[in-house]
Amino acid sequence: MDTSSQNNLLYRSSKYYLLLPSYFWVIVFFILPLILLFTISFASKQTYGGYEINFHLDNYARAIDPIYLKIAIRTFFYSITTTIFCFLLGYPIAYYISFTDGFKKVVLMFLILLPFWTNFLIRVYSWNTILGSYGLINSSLISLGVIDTPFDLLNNYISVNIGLLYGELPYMVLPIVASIDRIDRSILEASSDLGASKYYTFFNVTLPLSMPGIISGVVFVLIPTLGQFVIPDLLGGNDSFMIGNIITNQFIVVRDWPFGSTLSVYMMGFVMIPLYLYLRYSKLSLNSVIS
Amino acid sequence: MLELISLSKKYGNFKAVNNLNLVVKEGEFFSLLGPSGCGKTTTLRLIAGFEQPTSGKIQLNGKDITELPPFQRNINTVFQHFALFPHLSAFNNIAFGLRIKKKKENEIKQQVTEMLKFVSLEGKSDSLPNQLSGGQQQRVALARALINQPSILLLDEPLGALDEKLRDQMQVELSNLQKKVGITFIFVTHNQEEALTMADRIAVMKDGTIDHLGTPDEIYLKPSSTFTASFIGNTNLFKCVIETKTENSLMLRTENNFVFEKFDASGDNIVGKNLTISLRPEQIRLSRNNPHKNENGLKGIIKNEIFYGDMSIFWVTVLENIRVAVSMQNYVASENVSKPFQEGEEVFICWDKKSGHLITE
Ligand SMILES: Nc1ncnc2c1ncn2[C@@H]1O[C@H](COP(=O)(O)OP(=O)(O)OP(=O)(O)O)[C@@H](O)[C@H]1O
Ligand SMILES: [Mg+2]
Repeated sequence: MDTSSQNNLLYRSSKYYLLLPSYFWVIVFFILPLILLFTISFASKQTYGGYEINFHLDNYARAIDPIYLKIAIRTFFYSITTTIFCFLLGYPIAYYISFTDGFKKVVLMFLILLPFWTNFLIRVYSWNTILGSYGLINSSLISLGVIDTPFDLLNNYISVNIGLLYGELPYMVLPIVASIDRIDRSILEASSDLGASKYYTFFNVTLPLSMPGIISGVVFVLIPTLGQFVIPDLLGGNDSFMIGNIITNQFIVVRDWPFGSTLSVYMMGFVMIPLYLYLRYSKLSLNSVIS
Repeated sequence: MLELISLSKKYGNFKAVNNLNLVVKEGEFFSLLGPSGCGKTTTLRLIAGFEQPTSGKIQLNGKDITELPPFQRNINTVFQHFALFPHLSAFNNIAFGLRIKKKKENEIKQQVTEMLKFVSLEGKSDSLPNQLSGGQQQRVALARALINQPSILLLDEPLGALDEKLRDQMQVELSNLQKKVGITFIFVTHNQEEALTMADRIAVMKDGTIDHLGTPDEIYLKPSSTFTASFIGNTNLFKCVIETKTENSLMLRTENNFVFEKFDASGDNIVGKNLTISLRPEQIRLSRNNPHKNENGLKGIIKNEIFYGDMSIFWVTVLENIRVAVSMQNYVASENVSKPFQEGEEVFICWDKKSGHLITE
């Protein structure tokens, strides 16, 4: 055997050795827990939080209860509204950031990222001081004489939606900034050169070309929101539970791991739908989504 | 007719375009030529309306258009890197301008199909830009601009991204096309050969202003400055002073005291005046014999020969340290070509007393 083919062989096998750490990572932290979760979802709950794996579908039947269905629908509704509001608010912000330059752009990007340096729980909790009966909004409105009794802004769907919007907004803004940044400015000039007004250029060139960023933003917002439980916990009332709350509850309070797992499996199945669409469209988006 | 009147554009303190005056006639193939960074693109962007001038005016057919936004000017641009819409097919790229004008769909279809045929891209109507070759993209860009029937078409180094073969071919296609449509073309390039072969008139730019404006012949044969003389083609420049003068001839003395005769009947040169003479490599010949009577001659040594195939450039050192370029056609008469002159050989460089162009600066 000559040296070149030896090297080649060495090279080819070493490629796989080099991949081992990442395989290890994926298996230990993603695949194994998933298998575990899946297995436990077919188990029966024992007293004191234990479980016995005896493969039955009772948990799956139990989960189709209207109580859970109602919460699932609410979760879905919250996720959709959050995604829509994030888009409506996030796109103009992203557009603005992308079309500024120099130091100002750095500052704006920094401001978007700044909140990540503070603990999420604290940031969400601090909305209490803004939305509460004696919070920033109500006390200013009262002292200005606009209202007499404070608005009920906290511990209901308003505060949950505000919290979700607040928490997820950066995940919408960042991919859209990236996609608008990627549009060659001479393409926008070409549009203007051919007689297009600013509006025409926006709707026929900028918006279609930023579609990949929009799709990423939607997925980055929609999917985490479906599993959200911190925000309804901290800002919600007893009628704003999301499915994530039920699941954490099953694991931590009720200690019914099998049922919690079952709900998680349902959730994952549901999340697969937008994820599947994302993978389909993100491949096509550049070419044919628009035309 | 397009008029640029005292046009200036400053970036901070830097004058990218500096008090530029220019008139481009209707139906003309006009070329802006100059080295990198001399302000060609900036001038074009001012004409298109992407930039606002710091001072000065732009008039199109007598109307002041300085303040108009790009989409209200009847001017279209072919961008340096084409700037095609990546999400639209060739057809929709070309139809873009017509759609803005709210033309009827069947009218659009007919016009675009015609245009596709005009630029020989019939089969490519559904292809996206990234599925087209460089030359094809270039033609889509051209078609997209031409279909709006602009008064003026601006082209910013449209051939810069193409390989040499395709570039040669597109040069011919472009000038034919311009004659056919009769639209004014303003063509930016830093390639002097491109400008010489295609343009009716050329403006040679330097540091944001026009250094010399004229037809290709004028610019090549009678450049008004040493900058233009050396930018367009190769040339040998010698600084001289007029020593004596008769009715139709001057005696010139170079800086190293070589005195030679130059026929000049113009009469506007006086004794003692400083001049530069530009001698093109093809105006000089090499000879082993003494120069003819109507020629000036200098003895020198051939230092290098640079072989270009059809011709060669000989670098000859004369007067101890002056390097002169002399070009010579290579006639391949028989199979065993023997070079007419060898490196290291002692020769005369000879030029006609009529030859050479005098530049006063
Ligand atoms: N937006 C800008 N800000 C600051 N300086 C600029 C800007 N645009 C151009 N310049 C400067 O103006 C000068 C002229 O630029 P321009 O693009 O017109 O050159 P050009 O003649 O087209 O050169 P090239 O042949 O390299 O394209 C350059 O020195 C450039 O650095
Ligand atoms: Mg340029």
